[in-house]
Amino acid sequence: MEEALQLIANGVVIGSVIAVSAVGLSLVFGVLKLINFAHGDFLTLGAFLALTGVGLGLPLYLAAIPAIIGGALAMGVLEKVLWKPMRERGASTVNLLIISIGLALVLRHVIFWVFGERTRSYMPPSPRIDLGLFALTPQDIIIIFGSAIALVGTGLMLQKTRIGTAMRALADNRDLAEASGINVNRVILYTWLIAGALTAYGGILLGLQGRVFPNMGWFLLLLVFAGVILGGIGSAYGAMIGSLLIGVVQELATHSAIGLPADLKTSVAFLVLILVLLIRPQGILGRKQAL
Amino acid sequence: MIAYFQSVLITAGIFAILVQGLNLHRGFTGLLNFGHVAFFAVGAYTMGVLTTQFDVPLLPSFLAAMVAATLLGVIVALPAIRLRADYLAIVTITIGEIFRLILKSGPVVTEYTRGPRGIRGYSTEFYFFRENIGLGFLDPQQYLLLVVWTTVVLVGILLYVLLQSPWGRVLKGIREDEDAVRALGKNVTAYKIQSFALGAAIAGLAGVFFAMDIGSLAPDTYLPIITFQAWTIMLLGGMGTHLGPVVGSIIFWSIFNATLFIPGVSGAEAAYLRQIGIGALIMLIIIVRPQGILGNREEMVLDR
Repeated sequence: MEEALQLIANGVVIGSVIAVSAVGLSLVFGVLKLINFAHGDFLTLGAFLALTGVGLGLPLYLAAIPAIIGGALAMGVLEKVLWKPMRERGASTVNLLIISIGLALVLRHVIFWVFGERTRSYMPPSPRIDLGLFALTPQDIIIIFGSAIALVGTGLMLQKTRIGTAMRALADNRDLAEASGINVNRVILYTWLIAGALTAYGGILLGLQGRVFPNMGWFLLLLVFAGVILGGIGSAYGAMIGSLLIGVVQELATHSAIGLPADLKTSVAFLVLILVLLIRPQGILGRKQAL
Repeated sequence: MIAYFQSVLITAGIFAILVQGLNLHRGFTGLLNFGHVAFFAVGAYTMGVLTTQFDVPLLPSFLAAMVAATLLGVIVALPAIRLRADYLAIVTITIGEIFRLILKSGPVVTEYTRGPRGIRGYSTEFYFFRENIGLGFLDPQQYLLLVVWTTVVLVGILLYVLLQSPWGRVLKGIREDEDAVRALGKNVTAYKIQSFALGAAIAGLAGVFFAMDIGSLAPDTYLPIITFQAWTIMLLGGMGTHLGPVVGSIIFWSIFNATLFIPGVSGAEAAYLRQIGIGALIMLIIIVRPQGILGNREEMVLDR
């Protein structure tokens, strides 16, 4: 039982990281119907931008600010120079998906090229603090709260602001949204900016949870897909729930009563992903017609 | 120098076969398979494990490799085929990764695959076999080159004939308009599974030759990048064309190897630059010429 509680706590930590990453992916999917395979490498970009700031002597919470702005700008610029022109030429979603795979390779290896393959971290590891039922490092606690703040903030943005309402309208029914006078291209640009900021932030949390290395985001990407699909693709709230579940499930799979090697825990999450697509492709919160 | 060109041509030939399989899935049937590396790996590993640990002779082990790849193709296809195109992409790439992780650390499985340590010493019989068929005058490399490119031609002819047949026309119909084919009373799912299985078997055979070429098997050889390279080759040559995989593969591996000779770039840097190049090439083809070098834009109504 004690072991299970500790594993659940670990799962919530990694699930929190996945959740922040998944919400950004889900927002873009909702508005553009694009599955962005480059999303993981934007996590890496955010993590390395913050690492650069830390290298210049900034504390991480200050280094995070330019990194988040940089992440938002990177996605915004790509919307202007790549995605928007491609949409205007009538490229299919499949072709956009293939482009995102090319983009992922480019971005990841530019990071490799610039920073080298060395693994780094923001700060030396801290010992775990015993919290009674389980033990967490101070970083873990920061990650859980940091993720919760971002998720609540995103939820408020979607519910309370004009742009959030417009994003939900667009995700629901593009033609109807367009007909009711929503400036679609502007909403799409804002979606990319918000997703870019969330993704850079998620990348920093990921670097805080583990290490900073050029493959970090790519390795997380399939787990992010799993979280998004389990929760219901296109539903930001679903992405949050799905991601936490994925985090907990893959940690629990290593419980000594199950005895799965730790190397295989991600394949359990992948298996969940496949099972969800087979049994309930709309996920926990998604609706069938959104597919 | 000649040996070097031969080794490039061997790689190009092996990938041409691999892409012939992928092209059947994507180019001719319209299925978005991003887990192609799994079929490549299952072929290589089936042959490797059977040869080294069960002393299975050469030809049966080749056959078993293709059967295993076919089975994996069906196992992947059965659930995945009903999914929408982009979901299929996620499921296939995920299955490819699960498969690699299991080869690497799956309980029981690693007793046979030896996990990250990998397998060696399965290729002796393959190279000895050339004496039996009167090709003893060739050196091992020339022999592999000949076998690989003969296979490229045979697979090419097989696919050409199949795709001219009524069966092949149904596949192309599915690519163009699945619902129309269904309305004509064809069992679309069955055709898709057959396409998936055959393409997987072809990829499995390519995997066997790849194993013979590199001489050892390790799980981390079979990363998703192999799938992406196969996609680049297919897009470059032209999806849904019979010569596309061959032309694409030769051009791709020529460029790839030419970058080894850029002066003043270290090995690691050159490796990163090559990956950047592959990614940029994928984007460029889709942006500038989505039908590839040999493709015919009018024929391909893939843009949906």
